[in-house]
Order: sequence, then C-alpha cells, then structure tokens
Amino acid sequence: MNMQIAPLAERHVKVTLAGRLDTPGADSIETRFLASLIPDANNAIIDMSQVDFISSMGIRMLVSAARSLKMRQALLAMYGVQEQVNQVLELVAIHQMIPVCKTEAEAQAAVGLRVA
Amino acid sequence: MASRLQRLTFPGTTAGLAEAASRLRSFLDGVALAGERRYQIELAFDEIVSNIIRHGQPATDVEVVVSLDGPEAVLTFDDDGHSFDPRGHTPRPLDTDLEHAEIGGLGLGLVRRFATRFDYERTPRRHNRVTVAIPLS
Repeated sequence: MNMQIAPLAERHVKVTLAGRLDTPGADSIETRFLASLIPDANNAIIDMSQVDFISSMGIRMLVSAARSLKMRQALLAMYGVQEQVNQVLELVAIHQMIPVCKTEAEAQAAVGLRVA
Repeated sequence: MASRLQRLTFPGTTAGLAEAASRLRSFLDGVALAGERRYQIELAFDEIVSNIIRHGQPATDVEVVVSLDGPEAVLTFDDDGHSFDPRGHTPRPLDTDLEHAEIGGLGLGLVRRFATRFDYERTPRRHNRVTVAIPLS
C-alpha cells in the first residue's frame, strides 16, 4: 500500500492512495495517514483511483479520519473510486457520511476549496 | 488444468495474512477467476482472518481451504485460538451520522451480505472452524 501527501492550499491536502486497502494495507499506513491529517486538522481529498480493493479495515481507517476531522471542523472527501471498491462502500452506506465524488474538482469543492 | 483447491497455512498475524492473501490471489489467477465473485472471495478471506487475528487470540496458526469445485466457492477457516463463534456477532445498523459513527464492526456484516452459508463449529481438535460459501455464478 502506497500513500503520498501533497499540499493543495493552507490546511488542505491531497492524499493519493495506491494498492490494496485491506487489513495489511490499512495496517501499513494508518498511523501515518491519521498523523498527517488529524493534528493539523487538514481538510483532505483522497485520490482513490489506484485503490483496487478495500475491506472493512480500510473503511474503518477512512471513517476514523473523517470523524476526527469533523470534530476539528475539517472535512474529508474522496474521489475516483473504482467500481468494485465503490460497491463495497455502498454496502456500508459510506456515502451518507463521507462525500464520494467523481472528480478531483468535485472533491475539492466538497472540502471547501475554491476551484480555479 | 489448474487445481481448484487451495490450502493455505500461516501464522495468525497481519504479516501472515498478507503473505497468505498473496498466495490466494495467485491461486485465483491460476483458475482465471475475476470480477465480483473473486472480489467477494478475497473480501471474505480478509474479513474472517482479520477477525481471527483480532478476536481469536492466542491463535498461533490459521489454515484456510478454498474449494472452487461446484457451484459455490467454499472457504473453510480453522484456527487454534480461543473458542469464538462469529455468528454471535449481530450486524449493526449502518451509520448515517459521521459524528456518532462507530468505528469498525462492519466486516462480518459485509461477508453475510453475499455469503449463502456462514457456519461455525468447535472441532474435536478444539479448533474454531468457520465455513463460508459464495455462489460462483
């Protein structure tokens, strides 16, 4: 599981995940993922286009981050979710808690970043 | 013709799960299984083994047999940890409010969404055995 973080604007970051967000994958990045977002209350957009598998531990990581950010008045949105991954996200109704957008521009708008 | 039966034995740890999941994917590549059913098999594997690792300690070894002979994929999970019947886990209602969302507890409910069989027994060898069946068509 690979993770890259890039600043977009003040208190806004883009996280690109690549690989399998299963139990071992979530375990390998969760500490760094949460540490890069939560303490500074960074609004985050997550590029999911290179994530080809997700299980409940990956979902747990995303919900945990989104909840902690919300408590700090920050937002998290994801975009570019692959079809089979999206089917699993729909089974747990994650869309009711976290914006799942089609494009990066939509995700930026969802976290309050004005698109140029 | 590639065998349609795979036996995986590995330590009940996250590293053991990662290595076994890789071997499972090689097996599924060998039988050319793709798409939604393959995803469900891999998901059941991750969820059940993850559950064993987190709740079945001290499980030292896990053995999983995956059989694709017949209309269903049958996955049998054996571990030597404490007695733990996952059928006692009631799938919880889905969260709609992020602020009060529970973290975790979704895995077994996910498997039950697509499994046609979800059985548990404590074997004479004092092992936990979970059997999950997933339709192949």
